[in-house]
Amino acid sequence: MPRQDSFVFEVTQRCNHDCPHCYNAWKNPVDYPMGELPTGETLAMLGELLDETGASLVSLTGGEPMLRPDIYEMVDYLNARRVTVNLITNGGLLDDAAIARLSPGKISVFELPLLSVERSIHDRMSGKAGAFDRATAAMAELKLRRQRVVGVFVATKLNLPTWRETAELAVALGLDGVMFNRFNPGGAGVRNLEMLQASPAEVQAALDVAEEMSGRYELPISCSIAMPPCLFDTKRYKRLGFGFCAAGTARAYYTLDPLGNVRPCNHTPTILGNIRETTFEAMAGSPAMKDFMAARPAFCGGCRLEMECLGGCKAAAEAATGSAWHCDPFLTAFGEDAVRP
Amino acid sequence: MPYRAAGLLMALGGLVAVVGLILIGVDVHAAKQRGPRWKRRLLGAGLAVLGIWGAWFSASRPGSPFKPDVMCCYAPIPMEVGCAGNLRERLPLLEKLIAEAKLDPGVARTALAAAEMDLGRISMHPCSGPGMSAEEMTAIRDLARPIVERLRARLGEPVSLEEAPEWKALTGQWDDAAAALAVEPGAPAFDSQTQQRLADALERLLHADLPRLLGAGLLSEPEARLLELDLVRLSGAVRRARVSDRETTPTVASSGLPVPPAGESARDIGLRAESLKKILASGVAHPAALRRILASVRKDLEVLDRPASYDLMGATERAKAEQIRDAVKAEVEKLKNLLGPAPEDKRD
Ligand code: SF4
Ligand code: SF4
Repeated sequence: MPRQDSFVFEVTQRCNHDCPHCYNAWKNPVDYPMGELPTGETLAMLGELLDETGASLVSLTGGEPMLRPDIYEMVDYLNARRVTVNLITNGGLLDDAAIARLSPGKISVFELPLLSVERSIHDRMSGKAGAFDRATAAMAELKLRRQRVVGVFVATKLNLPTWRETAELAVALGLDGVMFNRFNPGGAGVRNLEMLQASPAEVQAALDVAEEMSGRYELPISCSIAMPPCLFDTKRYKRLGFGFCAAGTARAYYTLDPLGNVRPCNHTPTILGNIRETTFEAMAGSPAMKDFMAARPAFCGGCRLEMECLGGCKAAAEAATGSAWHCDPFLTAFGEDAVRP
Repeated sequence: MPYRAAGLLMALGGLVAVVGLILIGVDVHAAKQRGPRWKRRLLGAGLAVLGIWGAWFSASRPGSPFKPDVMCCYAPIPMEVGCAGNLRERLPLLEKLIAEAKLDPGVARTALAAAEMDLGRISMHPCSGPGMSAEEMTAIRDLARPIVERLRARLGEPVSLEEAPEWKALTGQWDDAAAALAVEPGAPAFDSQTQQRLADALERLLHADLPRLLGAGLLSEPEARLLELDLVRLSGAVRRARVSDRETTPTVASSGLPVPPAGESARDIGLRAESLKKILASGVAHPAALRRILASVRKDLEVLDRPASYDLMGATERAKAEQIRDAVKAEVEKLKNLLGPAPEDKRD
């Protein structure tokens, strides 16, 4: 029976924001199945996946998970199963009443976007006027209720010039950490590549700032999106954490969508099967999963990090080109500058 | 070279070395004399493989991008919570952002409240770790105080204790809990839902409202510590109280603040003595807070004034309890001078 530390549950595909960088798989130009199950069936399928994987952590995301009125029942169910719950939300619906219902102790970490210190940039990157004020209000209230809050900065051409002050805003709000994620095209992001994708040099300069900020303010900063070492000099950072693709490992983020479809991670549109019809074991060992795990671009052949780095994000490659074996769009755009480690 | 393969090679090297050691024994001197030379060579080769691969493995990782305990793609970041170590920088940054009107005023108020709460919390319960020595704490407080004052003025936050919503919540919920506990001895005080509600409210007072009042400068540190002692005692009484809808074993009488025997009162008063002395030495107090503090102290003094309270006590213990009682009584007398006129007198 496969043991899996955690999984992502996409509570709903609906969202009240319209981020141009959104990586949601159903925003790809593919025929992704849409819909939701009633509460009882949702809890039952969550239970099935928990029983089979023994997962101890579930990250609730969407769409916007707070759009589902039964989100509290899901949280209570997971709490009753002694599962740690993280909530990834845009914060737009996280008013005082919602926060009171979710605290204390029900959610381990709240992850909210902190896209810029500039209201106009945050709102533009959220596709929603007022998003900045609502997200910061939720963060401040969560901190007043002594909850753990992480701000997520998605680094794009639009907001990188404000990164330093945005990190300072995270400190001023008392956040527990920041995720500095390079823009990873998928979903709607694929259509907005031109507008959003910053160059490796711009991202590297921001990483220098991140290292400095993390030291000066004792602010944990991690770069959760795979950063190909041939494009980024990661050696120079002592404080920043970097991750490689975890798909298929014990620490993978297998993703369950609202209809029970399981994918290798939350970025990829590849469906391995449905937990209501197939066992997780069968899906994790399926040819589609094996192919996803094996995938890496020809570009990386011969690189000594080929088997760890796997060429950046294969889900982004899949979203942009239709195949996980092609290049991560970041490599496609800037591969000429690559310096093999 | 993939790490997994490197690890496998290291393990193989280690295995060869271990088998070698078993074959020739761990005594190196004896090993020199014993066994055929090929075994010793094999052992040497095994250790060399281990050494070379070990050195390569640690030196060749590209800036150690894969920190095994850190994360993989999309895993949440690991964090230490609770020390509020960057408060020194947090308040100046908050002031700067508020001055530049980057934050909505409501958000600014909540963010200030959270910073005040953290400031109060680390003042009441300093956390250990680098940068959090007593001197460091004083430095943080000295830096924070004027910023907090400026921000409160700028954001129109109450500047007196009595006006602060946290103080109103604290006194209101304290009185509610005390009233709910005031039942005949042995009788259920409330149902389990009310018990949970009261317990949650008291938790919030202890961990959020009280520290915030301290961080905002509306209470002094000894006042906050004294109020904390009372709230902890009250919270314990609520949790232990008998409820109407569940079978529980009543452990203390549920009548107002629990009335402890002389030993407990002496201990509780002893815990208060130092903070009372500090208030006296400073010569300043917030009368509303001091009045509440002294009311609890007086309840313990009353217990210690009753000869029957000492029934189960040894002579030495009793003498000690009476000594504490007399010392605190003297302090209470002097502290009364800091109270100013009672609220009723003010209205006259
Ligand atoms: S594996 Fe590919 S993407 Fe990763 S560092 Fe090597 S060449 Fe770059
Ligand atoms: S495919 Fe991309 S998003 Fe998915 S686990 Fe790998 S690096 Fe992360």
